[in-house]
Amino acid sequence: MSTVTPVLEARDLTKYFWVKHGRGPLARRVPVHAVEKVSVRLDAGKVTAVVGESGAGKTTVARLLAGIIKPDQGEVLLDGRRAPKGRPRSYAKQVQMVFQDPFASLNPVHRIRHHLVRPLEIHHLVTGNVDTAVADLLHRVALKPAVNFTSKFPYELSGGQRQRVAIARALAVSPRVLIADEPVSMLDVSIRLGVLNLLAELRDEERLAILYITHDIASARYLADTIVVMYAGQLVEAAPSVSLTDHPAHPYTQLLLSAAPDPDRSEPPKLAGRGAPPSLLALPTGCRFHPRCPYAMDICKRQVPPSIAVSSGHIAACWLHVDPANRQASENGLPATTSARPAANHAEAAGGSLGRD
Amino acid sequence: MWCSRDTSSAGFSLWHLVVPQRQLLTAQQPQAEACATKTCATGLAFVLLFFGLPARATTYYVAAAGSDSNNGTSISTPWQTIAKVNGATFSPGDSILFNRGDTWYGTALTVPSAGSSILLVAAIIAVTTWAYSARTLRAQTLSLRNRDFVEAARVSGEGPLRIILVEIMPNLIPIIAASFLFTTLYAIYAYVAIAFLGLAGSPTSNPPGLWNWGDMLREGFANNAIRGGWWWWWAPPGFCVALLGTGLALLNFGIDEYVNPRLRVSGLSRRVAEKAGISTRAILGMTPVVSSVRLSDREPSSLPHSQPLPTAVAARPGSTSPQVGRDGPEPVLEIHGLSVDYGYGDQAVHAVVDCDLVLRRGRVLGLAGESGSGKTTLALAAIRLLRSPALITAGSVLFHSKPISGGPSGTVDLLAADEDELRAVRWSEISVVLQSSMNALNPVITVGAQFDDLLRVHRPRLSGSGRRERSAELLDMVGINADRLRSYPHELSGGMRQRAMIAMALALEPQVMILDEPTTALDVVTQREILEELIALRDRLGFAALFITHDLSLLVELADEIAVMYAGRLMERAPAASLFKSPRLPYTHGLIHCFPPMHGKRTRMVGIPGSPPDLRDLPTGCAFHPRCAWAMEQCKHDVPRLESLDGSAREVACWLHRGDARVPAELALPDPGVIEVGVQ
Repeated sequence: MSTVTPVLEARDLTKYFWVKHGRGPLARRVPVHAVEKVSVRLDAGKVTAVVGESGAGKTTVARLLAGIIKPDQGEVLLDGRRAPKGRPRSYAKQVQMVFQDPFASLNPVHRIRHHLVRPLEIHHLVTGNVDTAVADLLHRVALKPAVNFTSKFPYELSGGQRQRVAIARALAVSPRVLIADEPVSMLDVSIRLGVLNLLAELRDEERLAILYITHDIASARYLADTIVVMYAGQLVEAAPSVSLTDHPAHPYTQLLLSAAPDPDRSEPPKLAGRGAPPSLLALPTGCRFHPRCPYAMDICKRQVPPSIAVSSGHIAACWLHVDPANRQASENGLPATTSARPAANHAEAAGGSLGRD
Repeated sequence: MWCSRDTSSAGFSLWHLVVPQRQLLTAQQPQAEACATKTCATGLAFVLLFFGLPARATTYYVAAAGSDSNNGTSISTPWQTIAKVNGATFSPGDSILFNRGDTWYGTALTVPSAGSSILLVAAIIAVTTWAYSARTLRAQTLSLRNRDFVEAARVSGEGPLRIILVEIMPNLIPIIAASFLFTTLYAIYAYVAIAFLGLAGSPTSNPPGLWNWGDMLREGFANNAIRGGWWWWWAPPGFCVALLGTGLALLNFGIDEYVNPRLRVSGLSRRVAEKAGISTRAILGMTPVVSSVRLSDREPSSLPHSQPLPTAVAARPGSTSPQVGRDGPEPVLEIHGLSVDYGYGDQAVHAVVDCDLVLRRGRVLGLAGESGSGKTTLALAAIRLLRSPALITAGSVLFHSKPISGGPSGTVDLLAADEDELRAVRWSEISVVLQSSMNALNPVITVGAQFDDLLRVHRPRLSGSGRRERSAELLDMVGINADRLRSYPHELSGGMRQRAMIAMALALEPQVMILDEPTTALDVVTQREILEELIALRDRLGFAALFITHDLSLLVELADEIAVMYAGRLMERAPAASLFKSPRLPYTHGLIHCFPPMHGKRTRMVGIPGSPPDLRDLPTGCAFHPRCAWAMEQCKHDVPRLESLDGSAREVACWLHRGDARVPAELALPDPGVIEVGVQ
């Protein structure tokens, strides 16, 4: 357990969305279990990646942390204190977010200057010349010379440039936390690394705490210090990034890794499991992954697996890592030796951070 | 919620029409803007002409006609009436908008002073029409408020009022303008109709109302003008109403064209095409081909490229038997010197330039490149599926047909083929799966019915139960349970829908499948499953596949041969393993090093500096030279051609491999794939 207070911490976040099920007067509202008991911590100068398939709840976690939506249960702690109700500007000043689609996240009718000036104005950060401040921001995201960009409209820029503007907008208020929701998935392959390297520089030079959400586990390995794997709204594994990708402990992580393109593979990949994630309306009992899991046991169908420390800082929520005696005990109704701590608390960044080693 | 309050009012509408939308206007190209201006101006002229100018004149006209009719002696000729109107002291300045509020159109714009009945009519029209505009605006606002830029504004701490006024409202202008003009038009029609029924107050009522077109019509009707054939009673008001409607509609079109540049493309480009002397007879679903190309391609021996490739020679229509040559099995689809433009004349964007590709029977050819590199354009142009203003300017596409299920074999020149020939080839011999294919299923019909339709059209001899069996078999092939035939598309996941589309593409046993990013929108696990199924099906059914993707790392595991495109040109072509292990082109080298590895120590990677070029403004020489670490002086001036490397199967378009240039060590790694070529 780290003694340093994380900049932003999520504790047991749970969020349900309610949808109508059925038609007409018989319709009833049923919960979509978007996120359940998710705990993540973001430390200054570290990148935490959240990896998972679509529908795993990654974006919901991002929106909860950014304060766009409020959790049903659990709490978000900023510097160890509960985040205030609503979304006051003091919170916006600390926590900023970059969206997935740079084509949608910039208002098409406003010039780049507007997008960068507004955050400065809202938070009364303009002390000297506004244009200098805007130029500084554009320089920080490597859009030079700034004069070429300030009076342009978003559609006049390429995808990579737009995403850089979006990052610059987030940086305008000098936040301490940056939440990046799939910031490179819409970008061309050749410019993705540029944006990832920019995030790495912000982490190293400005000590930003970054939450990097992605479905691309290779890029998470490249950028992040810690990787957290989500499946059907829950955390299934959390570990330092190299440890997680080299020694995945949870069968779902193994499946993800076996499916990811890897040209260095010597033989054709063998998928470790098949099928699709469950509907969030009707979740399987026990472990949510058991219908797809090649190692599923009886207990997996009946009981939710505890979070187990596989090695130092490496947590997996899987019955495979509970020793048989304990498994038997919990079958008989006794509490399993669960680690009471939320998984991410254990996952201290052990991996060397990129660009510094 | 804060947005649901955002319903429209006339005040809003007016404000938005008046606020100059400078940023929207300056953003467009000058010619296109002129075009929109013309439409706008025509509309405005119409509106002013029939809105303002003749209002007073109408009063005189009817007064003259009416007084005579009141006297019992109706005017017998129109000339008398016109003479009276002209003789009256008529000054245009009298009757501009808002003047003395003495005209009925005040209902839409301002409060009229004459008669409470007009106010009442205005109120009635407002009450009956507000809901329509409000609904449209609300729906649009609801979709806008979920857009990322609104969320981004909230994240940056923006307040609700500013979000509505500054972020959302400007995006609503086209809708506000459209509904404002529609409401105006509706109000006019409604008022004319009400007046015709005599409910709007008339000049003869007390207090006296004003003459308007509805009154004129009613007066004429009351005086038996229609039966008597006195057209001058009813034709002018009818004409005015019609033209005013046209004017408002034109104005609306003009505003739409300003706001949405895509609306202007077709009209503009046709004119430019005519100027450039290109006839573009638009046939739905057939990309036009410049006529000179069509003629020359009738003779395959006169293909318009200087250096016929060895593969092209082997692929003459004469070669029939399935022979495995030095380069592998016989070709099934040959593309030679294909060039595709978007737009015509000077404005043309050269999206694909002089591309050669040979797809061999039963093989997977990967086409890699970034967005805008022309890979999709190339593939779709080959079967002429691109829409106007795309234009094939050069090249030939030969399809060597040898149906899998038996039947006559032969060669079709797809660029010279007519509609019927193309239809015979498309889908049954060459099928396409696009990234968005999963959205191509009809949402209101079950999956089974859609399979049934396809089979009924193309396999007319199959019975109902035969079709069902075949549909079930097809779904089974792609790993979907046959029960799903009864499902509607929305009941299937994205992966399943994409699988169903692949099954549909396979339904007629095509010889070639064009797969354009078929798995990009899917999750990694689903993607991997579908790819495995595709490869298994390829092995079983023997179709050839052209696999287009931006993900080179995926292609390496999948394709037999890979071609890399950049800025509309093919830059490198090699067997998959060779291309990945020992790239010869700096761009390919860069692309490969854009994918972080899954193993080993983490090191900082740089990728490729800069961003892909704008096709409208390509760098001179090699289009990649501004981003290339090894660019030489020559690269800035001369475009390198795709040429064979040391007589091997691989080809590269790079000056580093020509003449006595020193090849960097990174681009001269030993080729692991040489031995494997053609053996598989």
